[in-house]
Amino acid sequence: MEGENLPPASSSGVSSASTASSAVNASRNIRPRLTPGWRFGVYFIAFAGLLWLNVWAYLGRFDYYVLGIIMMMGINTILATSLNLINGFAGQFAIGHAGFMAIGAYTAALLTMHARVSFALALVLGGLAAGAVGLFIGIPTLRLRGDYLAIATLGLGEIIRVIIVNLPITGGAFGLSGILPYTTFFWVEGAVILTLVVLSNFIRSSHGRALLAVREDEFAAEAVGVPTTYYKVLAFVMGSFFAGVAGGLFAHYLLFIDPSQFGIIRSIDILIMVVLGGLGSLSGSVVAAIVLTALPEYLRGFAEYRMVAYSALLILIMLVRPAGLFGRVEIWELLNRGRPCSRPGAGPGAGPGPGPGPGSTGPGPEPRTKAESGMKPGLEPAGRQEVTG
Amino acid sequence: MAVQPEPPLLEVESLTMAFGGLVAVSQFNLRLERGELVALIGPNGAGKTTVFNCLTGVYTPTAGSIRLRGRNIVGWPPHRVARAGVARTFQNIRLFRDLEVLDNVRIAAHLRQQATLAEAILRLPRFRREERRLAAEAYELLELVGLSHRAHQLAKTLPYGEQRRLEIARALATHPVLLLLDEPAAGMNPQETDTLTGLIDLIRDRFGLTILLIEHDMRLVMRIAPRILVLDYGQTIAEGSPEQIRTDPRVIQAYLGEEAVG
Amino acid sequence: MVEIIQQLINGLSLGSIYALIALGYTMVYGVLKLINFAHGDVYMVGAFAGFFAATSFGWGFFPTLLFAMAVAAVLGLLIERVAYRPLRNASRIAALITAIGVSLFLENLGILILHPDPRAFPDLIGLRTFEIGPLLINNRQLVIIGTSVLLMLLLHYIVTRTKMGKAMRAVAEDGETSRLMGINIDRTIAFTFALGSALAAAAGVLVGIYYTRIDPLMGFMPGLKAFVAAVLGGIGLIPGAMLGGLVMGIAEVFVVAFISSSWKDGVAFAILILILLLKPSGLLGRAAREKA
Repeated sequence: MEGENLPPASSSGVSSASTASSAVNASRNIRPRLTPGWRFGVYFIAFAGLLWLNVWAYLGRFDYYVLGIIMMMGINTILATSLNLINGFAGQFAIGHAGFMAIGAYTAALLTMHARVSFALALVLGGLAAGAVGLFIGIPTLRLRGDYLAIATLGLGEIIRVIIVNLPITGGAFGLSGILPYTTFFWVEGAVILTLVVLSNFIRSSHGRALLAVREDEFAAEAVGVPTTYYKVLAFVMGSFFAGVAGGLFAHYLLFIDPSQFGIIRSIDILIMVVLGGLGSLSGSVVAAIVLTALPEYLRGFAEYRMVAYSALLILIMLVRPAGLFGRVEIWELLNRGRPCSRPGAGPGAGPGPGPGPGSTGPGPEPRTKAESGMKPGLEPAGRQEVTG
Repeated sequence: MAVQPEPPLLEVESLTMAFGGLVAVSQFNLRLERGELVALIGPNGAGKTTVFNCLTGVYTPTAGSIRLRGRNIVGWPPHRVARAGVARTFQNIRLFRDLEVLDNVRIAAHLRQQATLAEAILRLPRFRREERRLAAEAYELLELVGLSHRAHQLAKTLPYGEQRRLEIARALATHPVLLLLDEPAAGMNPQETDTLTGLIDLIRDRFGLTILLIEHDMRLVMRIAPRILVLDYGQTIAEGSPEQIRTDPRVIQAYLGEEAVG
Repeated sequence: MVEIIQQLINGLSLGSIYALIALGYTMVYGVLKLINFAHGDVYMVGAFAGFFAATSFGWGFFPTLLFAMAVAAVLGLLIERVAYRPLRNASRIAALITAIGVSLFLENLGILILHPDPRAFPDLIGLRTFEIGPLLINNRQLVIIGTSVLLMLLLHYIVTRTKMGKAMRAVAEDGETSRLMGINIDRTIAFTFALGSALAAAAGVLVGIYYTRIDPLMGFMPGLKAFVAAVLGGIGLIPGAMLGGLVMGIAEVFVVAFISSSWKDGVAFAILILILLLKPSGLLGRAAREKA
C-alpha cells in the first residue's frame, strides 16, 4: 500500500472498533493458573531436580551415555534460546545456526589443541569468531527489508563447509580428532545459566523492548527512534556468539568433529526446537530443547522418519499456530499470575505448567506487573479479522 | 535576509518528491514557529502523507531542504529524525499490536535511555533506576491520554479510538518538539473526536509542542488550527486562516472537483 | 583464450539451467514476496518425474519434458494451496518457516521413497560432440541452451501477451490495487506457481540429461544458487533472473576451471554478499524505493 490517503472515515476503522469493543466487554482473563500450592510444588521439583542433577554429576554416578544426553540437552538449550533471540524476539529469519556452531567448534578446538589456550578463553574466542562472522553477514543483509537473511544464513552453512574442507588445519572432510575432553556437566551447566541470564536480562530491558518493536512493526519502530538495523544486527550477532560457544562445548564433548555434523539437518533440529517451544518464549525453547534431545534417543528405530515428521510438523505448527506451539508465553508467567496471554488461540492447549526440568530458567518472579486487570484477548484468531484495509 | 538569533522550528523549502514520473509533492514550502499548530488539508492523493514521510525521513525528497531548528535533516534515517525531535502518528494506526499498552509507550521512551546493554544485562543500579523512571513516565503519559487502566492489555485489544490515543501517547514519549498527526480523527465518532480535540489542546499547552496536522474532519480543523495549508495534486493551492480558506475559490474548486469525481 | 571461450560455452549451458530455476523464484517472489524455499525441490521432483517417464514409459525427450513439467505444475499448485495460501496474512517469518518445512518435507520424503542413492538418468539424447576449430561443443549442451531459450521466449509471450501474464505483472506491482481492479489474486498466484514449477521441472530434466545422474537432494544447492541468481539479476524481474542465471553459471564454471573445483559452491555465496553490499536491487533493478 502506498500509504496515501484513505477515504476520511474508512469503514475499516468502524468495523475494527466494534469488534475490539465487543472484545472489551467480554469476560476477564480466565487463563488457567496454578494455585499457590501447585506453584510451590513446581518450583520445589525444579529446584530439587537441579540439585540432584548436580550432586549426581559431582559424584560421577551417571553412566557415560546418560551424561552425554544431559550435556547435549544443555548445548541444545544454548542453541535454541540463542536462535530464538533472532527468530522469535527480533523477528528475523535465520536458519544457518549450525554454521555458527561450526565456527565456534573449530575455533575453540584448534585453540585448545594447538595454542594451549584455556578452555574458558577458547569458548569465548570461539563465540567471538562466530559473532564476527555474524556481523560480516548481518550488516549487508539486515539493513535490507526482506528475507535475504534466510538465504544468506542458509548459504553460510555451505560456505563454511567449503572453507573447512579447504583449510589445511581443520582436517578437511575427514574431520578433526584428538580434541581434549574439557567439556563436563558443570561447564555446560555454567554456560547454560550464563546464556539464560544474559538473554532474559537483555530481553527484559529497554534494549530488548526495542527488539520486540522491530519484530512488531519496523516502520513504527523507526518512527519512535529505534535504530532498527542496529538492533537486528545486535540480536543476530549475539545469537551467533552463543551458537559459537555451544559449538565449543560440543567439540570438547564429542572430541571429534567433521563438517557433516554442522549441516542443514542440525540447523533444522535447532529451528524446530524454537518453533515448538514458541517463537518468543525463552523457557519454551529450554523445554523444547530438553524434550527434543531426549526424544530421538527413545525413537531410534524411527530415525529415518524423523526428518519427514519434523518437516511435516513445522508446516503443521505454522498453519495452526504461527507463533509456535506454545506461543510467546513464558513458563513463569503461567506460574506466577494470570497475565493475559500474548497469543490468542486454543486456550486449553496453552501448555501444562509442570515441565520437568526448566529449573534453571526460573530467575525469580518478574518485577513487572500485577495485571489482574487483563482481559481475554478473544478466542478467535483476532489477527485475521482486520484485513479490511 | 539577516541571520536570526533563533531559526524557525521547521523550515521546508521547495520540497519536491517524485516517484518515477509521478510528482507527488512539488515545491512545497512551510515555516513553523515554535508552538504553532498548522493543519494540512486537501483531497485524497494530494500528497499530504508524502509530505509527512519526507519530514520524518521515510522518503528522501527529490529536491528541496528541510531544516529542523536550523539543521538540514534531509537524508537522515527515520530513527535519527525521531531522535532530533520529530514524532508522528500514522493514518492507518501502526501500534506494536502484540505488545502491552505500557510497552508501546516505554519503547518510544527508549531513545532517552542512558543505560548501556551491559548495564542492562548485569542489572546495574543505573539500569534499575532508569527502568523505574521510564515506567513511571510511561504511566504518566497513559494517564494523560486516559489509558492508564489499560496498561497491561495488548495494544490490539483496545477499541479504535483508544488505539489512536495510544499512538499519540507513544509519540509524546519520544519527547518531541514537533508532532505530526496524520488524520488522528479518522474513523472516530463525533464524541471521540471531541475527546481528541481536547487532548490535542491539552498536550499543546502542557508540552509547548508544535503540531502539524493532516485531517479531513473540517469541524476539527476549523476549531483548532489557526493556520491552514491546502494541497492539491502536490501543489500548495492556498494558505491562511480558517476564514480565508473557507472562502478561497481554488479550495472550493479542488474539493468540488473531487466530489464530482468521487 | 580458447580455453576461456570453451568455458563460456560450458557456463552458458549450466547458466541456462540456473536461469530456468531462478525464473520460478523471481516470479513467486514478485507476486507473494516470499522466498519459495521448496522451489529447488520442485526441480528435483521434476527430474524424477522425467526419470520415470523415460524409464517406465520409455518416452523420448519431448514427451518426457512435457510430462515432468505437468507433474511439477500440479505439485506447485498443491504446495501453494496447502502450505502458503492459508498463511498469506500471517507474519513473514511464519511463511518462511513453512517454506523451509515444505522443502525439507519433499527432500526427506524423496529420501524415504526414492532412496538417497543417485540414479542414472536415461540417455535420451545420444552424446555427440562437435569440434569447431579447437572448441568442443556437444549436442546435449545445444539441446539445453535451445530448450531454455525456447521456454524463455514462451514465458515472455505469456507474461506480456496473455491476460494471465498481465494479471501476474499487475499483482506483482501492487496486489491490493489489482484486486480492486477485479483481478482474481488467488488464481493469479496459483498460475504463477504452476508456471514457475513447470520451468523448474524442465531444468530438472535438462540437468538429468547433462549430468546423467539425479538424487533426492539434488535440489538444495541449485535451488540456493538459482535464488542468488534471481537476487543478482534483481529479484522480481524476469529478465533479471535470466541474466543472473547466466552470470552465475559462467562464474561457477570459471571458478572450477581456473581456481579449484572445491570452491565451486562458494561462488554463489560470495556473489550474494557482494551484490547485497554493492547493489541490493540487483543488476537490472532500479534503486529500490522502500514502501511505507
